Amino acid sequence: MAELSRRTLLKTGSLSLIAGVVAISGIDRLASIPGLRTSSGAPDLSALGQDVVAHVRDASTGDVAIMVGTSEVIHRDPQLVGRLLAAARQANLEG
Amino acid sequence: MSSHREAPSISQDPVADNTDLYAFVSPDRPDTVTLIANYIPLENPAGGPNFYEFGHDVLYEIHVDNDGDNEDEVTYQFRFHTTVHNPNTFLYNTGPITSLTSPNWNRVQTYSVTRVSEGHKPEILGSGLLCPPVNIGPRSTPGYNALAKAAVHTLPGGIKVFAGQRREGFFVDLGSIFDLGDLRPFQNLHLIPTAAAPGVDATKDLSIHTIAIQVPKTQLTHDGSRPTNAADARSVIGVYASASRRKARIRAHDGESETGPWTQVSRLGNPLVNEVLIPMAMKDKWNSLRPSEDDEFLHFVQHPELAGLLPVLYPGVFPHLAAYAKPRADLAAILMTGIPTGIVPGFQNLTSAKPADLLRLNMAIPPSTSPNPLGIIGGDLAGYPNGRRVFDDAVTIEIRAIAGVTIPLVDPTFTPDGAAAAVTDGVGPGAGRYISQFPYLADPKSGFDVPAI
Repeated sequence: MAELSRRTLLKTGSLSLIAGVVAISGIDRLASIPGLRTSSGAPDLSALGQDVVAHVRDASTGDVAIMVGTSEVIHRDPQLVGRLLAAARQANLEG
Repeated sequence: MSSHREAPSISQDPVADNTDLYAFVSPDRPDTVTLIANYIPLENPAGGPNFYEFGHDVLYEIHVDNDGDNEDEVTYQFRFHTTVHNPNTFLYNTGPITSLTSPNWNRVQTYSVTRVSEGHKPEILGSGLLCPPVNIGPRSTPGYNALAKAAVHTLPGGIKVFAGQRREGFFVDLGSIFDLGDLRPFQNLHLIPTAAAPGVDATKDLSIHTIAIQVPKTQLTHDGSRPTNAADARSVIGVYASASRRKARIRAHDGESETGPWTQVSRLGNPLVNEVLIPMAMKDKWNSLRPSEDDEFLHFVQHPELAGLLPVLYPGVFPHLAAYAKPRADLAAILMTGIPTGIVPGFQNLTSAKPADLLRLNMAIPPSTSPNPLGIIGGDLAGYPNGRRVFDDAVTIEIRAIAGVTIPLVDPTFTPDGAAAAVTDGVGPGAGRYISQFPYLADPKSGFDVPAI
């Protein structure tokens, strides 16, 4: 087995963790939003045809604003916000 | 430009910057009201190669409150669309523009007008309406007046609309006023004195972008009645204009896009409120709020900083003003609630006891046969602060009001300083700024004729 650097292990591990988190919690989370559960239970990644912007309004509460078109809705979704923040931290490291 | 670059954020966004709002009974069609909202301050006529234009990504609105709740029951929304016929040239026009459909006109703006009224679905009054080109010069826009006239559109219901470049109607000695409150005719009395001099009209050659709409009065009253009784509350409307942008903007190498709800970035009711009454730290917030949320700003109207500065800047000239410590109920009435019955004989424009910066027009008062640019303080009930006409001298009116000339209306024990009725920046409208028919602001000067300012 090739020797892994600590950085590589951490990088691989965190992404996997994120993926694992999605796999474990995604279906349950999606199931709670009407209309979002597909027949297979997989997330619907089809484009809306317009920009979608997610704005983490309050990390401590897990509030995220979703903007699309002229609408804005606030969701309280700590797990989604946690995944966004993890991706943001990763972006900071890589940047 | 009674409100131009008046707040830190909007000073960086001229396309969305409200500069003036006018509301008056149309002198040539007195069964209608004309509402004019101007944007984009300090336009130099020589503005090429990308000439001034409305923002395609801005929602421009004129709001009307007709039931005294400080909220708009009728709103006119304007959205603009830019078409570039030939993207492979840098030119705005590739030859003389002799009509609004000239193939030589490369970068064309059109717009839609939508009426949003309480309890009704939004109604598109017109779409694909052509703006006129900007006034460039004799080779590009010969016969400009005909182009501008062709851009006055008649909509169903007796409505007229125009959106495009006009001559700046607001007159002011901008250079002196913001030089520590200097008024050139009185600068020999200033704390830092120099010889008195005539006022200098800083805006006489400038252009502006105007949205003008002329509407039958019965479409603005709450119950559809025709306003004939000046004492009737139904005769009064409160007006403000605004500009909004989408909440989020995404910039990419291949263009930009916006998403999210419309977010107000600029608004304007009475002239000069955010300009000189609201402190620096609150100006951006003021621009983001509706007039119905103006409670927290009333203090700045009741205790205007400028009223405290005048006696300091002009030592010995305003002793009565300097000694007056009561809240300025006169300014609160003029700017924030309207003037109730019994203060000015034959006039009222009260909308609500709750403060809101709205331009309040009593539609039952007919146009004056001998207009006085000093409006009500000059004895002309058809002038500001009864709405605002394009030629009303808002600067002189408000300086004199702040200097105390209107205090006796609410406090008969006060005697204004002699200077209060005399102060002025020394600038009048001059010639050629206005026309006698809609949209009442004259054609802009061409960049060829005004190559440098």
